[in-house]
Amino acid sequence: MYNSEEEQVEALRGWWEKNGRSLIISVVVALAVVIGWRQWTGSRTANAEAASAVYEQMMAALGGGNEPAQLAEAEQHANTLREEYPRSAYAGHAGLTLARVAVTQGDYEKAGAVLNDVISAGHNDALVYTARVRLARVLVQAGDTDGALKQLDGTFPEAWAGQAAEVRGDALRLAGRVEDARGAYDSAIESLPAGDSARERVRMKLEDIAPAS
Amino acid sequence: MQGFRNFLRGPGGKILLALIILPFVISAFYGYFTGGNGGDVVAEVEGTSIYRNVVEQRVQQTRMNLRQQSPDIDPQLLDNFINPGMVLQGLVNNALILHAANDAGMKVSEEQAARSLMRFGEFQDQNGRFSQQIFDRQVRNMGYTPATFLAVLRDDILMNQIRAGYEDTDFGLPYELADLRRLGEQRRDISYIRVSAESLLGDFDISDEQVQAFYEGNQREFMRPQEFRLQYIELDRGAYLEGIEVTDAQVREEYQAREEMFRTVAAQQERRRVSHILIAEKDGVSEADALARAEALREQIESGADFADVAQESSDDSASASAGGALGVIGRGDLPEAMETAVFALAEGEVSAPVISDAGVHLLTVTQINQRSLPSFDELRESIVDELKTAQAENRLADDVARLEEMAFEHPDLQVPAETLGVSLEQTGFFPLSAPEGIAQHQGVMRELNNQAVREQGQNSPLVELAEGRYVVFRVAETQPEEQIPLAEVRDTIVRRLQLAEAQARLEAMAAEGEAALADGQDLASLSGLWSRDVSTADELERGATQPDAELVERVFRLPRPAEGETGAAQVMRLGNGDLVAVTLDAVRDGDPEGLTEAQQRSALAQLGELEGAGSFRKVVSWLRETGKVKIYNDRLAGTVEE
Repeated sequence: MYNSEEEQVEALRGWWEKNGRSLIISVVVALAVVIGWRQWTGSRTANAEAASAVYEQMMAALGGGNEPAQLAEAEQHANTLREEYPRSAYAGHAGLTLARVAVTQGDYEKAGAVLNDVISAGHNDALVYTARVRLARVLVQAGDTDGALKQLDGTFPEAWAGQAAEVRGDALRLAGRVEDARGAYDSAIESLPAGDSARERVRMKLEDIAPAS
Repeated sequence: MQGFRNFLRGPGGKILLALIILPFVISAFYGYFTGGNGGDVVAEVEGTSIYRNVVEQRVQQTRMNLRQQSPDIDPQLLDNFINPGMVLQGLVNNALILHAANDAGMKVSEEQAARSLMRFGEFQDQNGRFSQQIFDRQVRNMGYTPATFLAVLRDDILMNQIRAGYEDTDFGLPYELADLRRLGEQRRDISYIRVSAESLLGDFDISDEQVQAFYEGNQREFMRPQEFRLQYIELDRGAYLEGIEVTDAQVREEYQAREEMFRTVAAQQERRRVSHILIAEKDGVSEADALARAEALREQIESGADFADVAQESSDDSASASAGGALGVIGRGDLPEAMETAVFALAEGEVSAPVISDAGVHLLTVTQINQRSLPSFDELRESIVDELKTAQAENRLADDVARLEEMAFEHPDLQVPAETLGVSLEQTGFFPLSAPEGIAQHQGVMRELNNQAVREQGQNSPLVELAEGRYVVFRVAETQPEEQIPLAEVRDTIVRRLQLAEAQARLEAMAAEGEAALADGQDLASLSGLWSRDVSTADELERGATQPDAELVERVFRLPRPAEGETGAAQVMRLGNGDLVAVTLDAVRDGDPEGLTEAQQRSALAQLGELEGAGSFRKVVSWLRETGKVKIYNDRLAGTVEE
């Protein structure tokens, strides 16, 4: 194509003057992106692994029964997770842990507050649905049946539908709306899978408020 | 070598950790489900494939574990229970849980997994410490490489994190407990009248004509099924053991062979308590300097100085120096080769010549030698005799089994094979397929009996293994065809059936009568007159009680609660067995939610929490099943399948 080596060199030089700068820039940018990405994923992994180690300690303390010292230790690890790794799902489970600790201590207000945190953090759907049902139960215990019913509004996936309906029935019954409670228990029995022990429990509750014949 | 240096300097745990992690960090990560993949893909879960042989392997593993835990378990029951379909469902769930854990950004580091490894009792030596050698061996026995094992372990920890995150964080609430106690421990009192069909049978006379007519009208029901008598040859290892003699010379020869092996093993497993003095090579101290210094210290000890004192003063290994140079108990393979050779050549109390390692120059001494003693001839005699006999019996059995298998195939019946092998031809009694007896109770025999050639044409069956060391070949010797059972034999059965039918009709009429009376405003007492049966009472009935009748109790607890201070209206019901019952609910007493001590209340709430927790995790798993991408190819799975 080119007549001589000189012409070839000349053509190359021309090309370089035109494109060299942008080539260097794109190589540098690409490198920066690769390195940055690696560092980012690396630090994310390291972060998750560190949270995981704290989480293991929290669960070990929680597995030690309801002794006050154990609960206090679990609570401490849970706070660490929530403060230092707020965006990790581990923080969500730390919230559930704090709720259990609070319930064990009879502090339903705090249990409600941390469960609310888990719901608004929204780490993943399973955590949110779990926390919503638990929150509703805590509210029923605290006597706030309206609050409980509000949590149970809207649809739940099949997996939680039965339990949500049962808690709804409990709230309605305690609020004195016996007729509505029956309907809720009915739909709970319908939604609970066969063989779930909760089904027998709901049946008991339903039959207990059956109208006298 | 790095490991050894750390061993000298750092605290034990850290190094061991490094040693364990190292191989895993280097080797490639083998995915959980890709390890040992083969066979068809039986399920795809969120882009992960599950292979058939992984499922099969897991089935075998699970069955084996269960069998070890409870040896008395019926193997057939176990095999039915632990089937590939069930195991696959479990694997699919695991894969979904893992996927969810990854999605949620949950992670388990190599170090975390390795740390948990150290807690496994299976991997610890006799001192309760983690042993790399034991770990390697055990893991390979389980069919893993150390890397795949650690990968599986990490997955396991991860799944457990998710599980615990739902299960262990749930709780029981006082109002829930109160409901459970109030309703679950409720007691009910009833009054009832019960008329069983049985009690009415005597009222009905059945004539011979009726019996005859029923017999003729239902011939198919009164057939005796086809029956079989089997002829068989059984070979049993137990029988072979009896005829075998072992000479004293054979036993001695075997003992000598074993003694050699014991000696090698004992030497391999020898442990020595070792102390050392380290002269490190460092700035200004050359190897030659260190050697000269070590030699001087050695002479000092030879001429009476205590090794421990010298170590304390002069050793550069500060970690061990304070303990008089003690390194602890060492086995073969624990030390670098040069040091090991020196240590295992020493007599107790002797001091070695200077030995060079990466760390510097060492003087070594052995303060204690633990070697297993060799068992004596007399100790082993009995077990050797047993094993030699068993081995010979196995050989003869194997020969005969092979001959039997061959002959059974060549000959039309079992006469010649039995004579050739010098064993007797056994036989069973007659039995129908629905009630097999003797060897026919074995599943393998039944399977062969279902084979047309064996059942209809009198051919010899293939060889069947009844149990370990017990083999059988059989053939159908005689068949009794299906036949009509004579009327005399079934007469009583027919009379009873006709009476029951009449009694049911009578009960039907009585029930209608009773219901009409109740609708008319009558009570239980008047039904008592109407049906000529007494009213009984049952007090303090609990849920799930079986007296006076489990079904009646269940139905009683379904009755609506009567208004305070009143008894419920009488009800007529038929039980599943046809019995007619009229019942009134007289009283309902709720369980007492307050009746617990504080400690009882706490533990009851904790139990409720566990129950709720288990349910909470189940919900997450079933939600993952609801929403996850799962494709199961049941048709590619061998064996029974559950959806």
